[in-house]
Amino acid sequence: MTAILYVEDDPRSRKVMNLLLRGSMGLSDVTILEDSEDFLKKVLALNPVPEVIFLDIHVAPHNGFEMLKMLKSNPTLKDIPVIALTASVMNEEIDQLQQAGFQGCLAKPIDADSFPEVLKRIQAGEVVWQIIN
Amino acid sequence: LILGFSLPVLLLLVIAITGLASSQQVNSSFAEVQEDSVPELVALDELRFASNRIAAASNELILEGVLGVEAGEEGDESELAEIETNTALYFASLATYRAFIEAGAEGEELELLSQIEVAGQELLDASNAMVNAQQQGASPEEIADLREDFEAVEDNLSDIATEAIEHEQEELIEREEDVADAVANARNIAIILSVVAIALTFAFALYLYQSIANPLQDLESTANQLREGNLQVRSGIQSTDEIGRVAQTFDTMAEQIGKTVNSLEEQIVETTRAKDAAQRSDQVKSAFLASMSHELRTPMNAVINFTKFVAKGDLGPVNEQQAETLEEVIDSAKHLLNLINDVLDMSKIESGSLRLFVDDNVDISALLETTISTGKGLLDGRTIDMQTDIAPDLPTIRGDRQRILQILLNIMSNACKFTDEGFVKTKAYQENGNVIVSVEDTGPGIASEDQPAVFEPFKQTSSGLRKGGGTGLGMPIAKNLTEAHGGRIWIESEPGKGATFYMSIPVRAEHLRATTVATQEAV
Repeated sequence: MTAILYVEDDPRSRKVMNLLLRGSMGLSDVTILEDSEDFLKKVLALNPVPEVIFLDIHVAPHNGFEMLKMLKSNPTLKDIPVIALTASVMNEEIDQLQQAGFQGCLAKPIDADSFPEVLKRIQAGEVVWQIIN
Repeated sequence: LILGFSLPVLLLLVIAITGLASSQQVNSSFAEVQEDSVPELVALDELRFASNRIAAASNELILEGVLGVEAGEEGDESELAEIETNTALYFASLATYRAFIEAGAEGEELELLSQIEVAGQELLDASNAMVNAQQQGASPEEIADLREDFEAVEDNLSDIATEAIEHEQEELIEREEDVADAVANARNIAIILSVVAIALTFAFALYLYQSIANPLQDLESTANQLREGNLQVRSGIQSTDEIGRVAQTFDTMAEQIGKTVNSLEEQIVETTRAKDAAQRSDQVKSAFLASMSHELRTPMNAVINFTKFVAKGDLGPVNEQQAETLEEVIDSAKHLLNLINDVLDMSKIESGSLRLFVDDNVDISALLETTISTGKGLLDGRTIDMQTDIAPDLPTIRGDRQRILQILLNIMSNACKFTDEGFVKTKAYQENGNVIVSVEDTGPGIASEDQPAVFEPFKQTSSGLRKGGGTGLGMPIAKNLTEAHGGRIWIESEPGKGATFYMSIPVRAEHLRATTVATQEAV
């Protein structure tokens, strides 16, 4: 079973991912945070350690880029693939995501049909940019 | 300057006039010497000569008598005539001398004149006395006495005449000295004037140098400062001469340059401001697009996915009719999302913010497979023959995989949407370093006058509008994306005979560089 962490401030997007990951895919180790308060502390407290982390960008108090930085500067978390899951997929924003060091991006709306396959590829170490729907 | 240059000329004129005056003074001095002294000396000399002759003749007469020589009447008469002649000469000379002396009366000379007159009269008297005594046959003793007197008188006159001559000679020397003095004076004046003239000329040259060279140097330094960008600098030379006028013209010019530069700087500031405003406007537009994309996509995520979960029965059982209806909702939502994507893409293209994610090895065959399979899905039961003629050796190309797929999908969906029966034929081949894809259909075709509008945003053809599908942005976006890859897109069509769309993209577009090794995935 794949342990997943997802940080998202929009309640409907959290519900979509909850239905997809827990419902459709039947995953149990799914943690969904609604803000980035005490982010690193919360991530380090997770058991099991997440295998893939999905981050929304527009999150308070620390946005997606800041959370990525925290993860990448922590020795125990730095190797976990971090994927942006965002509705902000204009070219400039994609550029910023790539430069920041995200290992991929899934654009909203999420394509639920292809998601299980995409997740496998991410776990296999592939960088996936799914930005045109 | 004209005034300045005329000054030395005037000075030289004064020197010339002074020199001329001096030489005239010298000449007149010479003339005076000649007119005064020389005739006086001649007269005195004649006077002395005459008195000597009288004395000699008288002596001769006396000696003949004393020696008892019978010279006869003739001998005596010759001596008497001699005495008479010289007496006349004496008086003539005396008159001449007197005339000169009285003209320039001098105490000493008058004294000498009267002495000469007295002595001359005494000589004449003594001579007469001796001659009378001789003729009357006086004794030798008496004659000897008279002769003694005569000799004394003669010596006296001779002495006085000599004295007068010496006096005149002294005067002559004095006058010569005067002349020499005058010459010396003239020379001194000439020298002094020359020195003064040289000094004045030098001073004037110095003044001219100061009044020309100094302002010119000022002007030069002003010009240099202006050249170095000090636009406030002015020569400030106020004189009214030629240099002053040049300097004032220069100042006016500097003023003009300053104004021009200021106006240019103002224009630059304004232009920069306008450019900044335009850039800000672009940034605002870009930020607005990004925000709109985000705000539209977020609810679409919920709409599409919640509907999908319901339709799939994840949230409880749905009957077939409900499932079909929910699928319609999903399709509509996806169509709406496509419209949103098209509008945003077009906005990106129009604001110049479209960016390609270039991959060096885009497999065009795979993209064509996806395209054809997508096209089949758009037929909705129409019997259309989907033909393919794909060259087996198509190269991988350099480009943005997602964008090339977008171009191909736009062309394919167009062909499938507008064809009711017949075929849609996809051909792909390599030619002259380009990959060319053509999609031929048996639809209504497009009149040549309508063909350009196909590639212009928001200008759907009448048939396109009737079909009611799409935004009219698909082909304009495809055109822009093709051109961004250094390629081109075009139509060959006649009404009633179908249409063929062509896309040509360079295999290795030189202006593109791989931006990322990332894989982009289409949904």
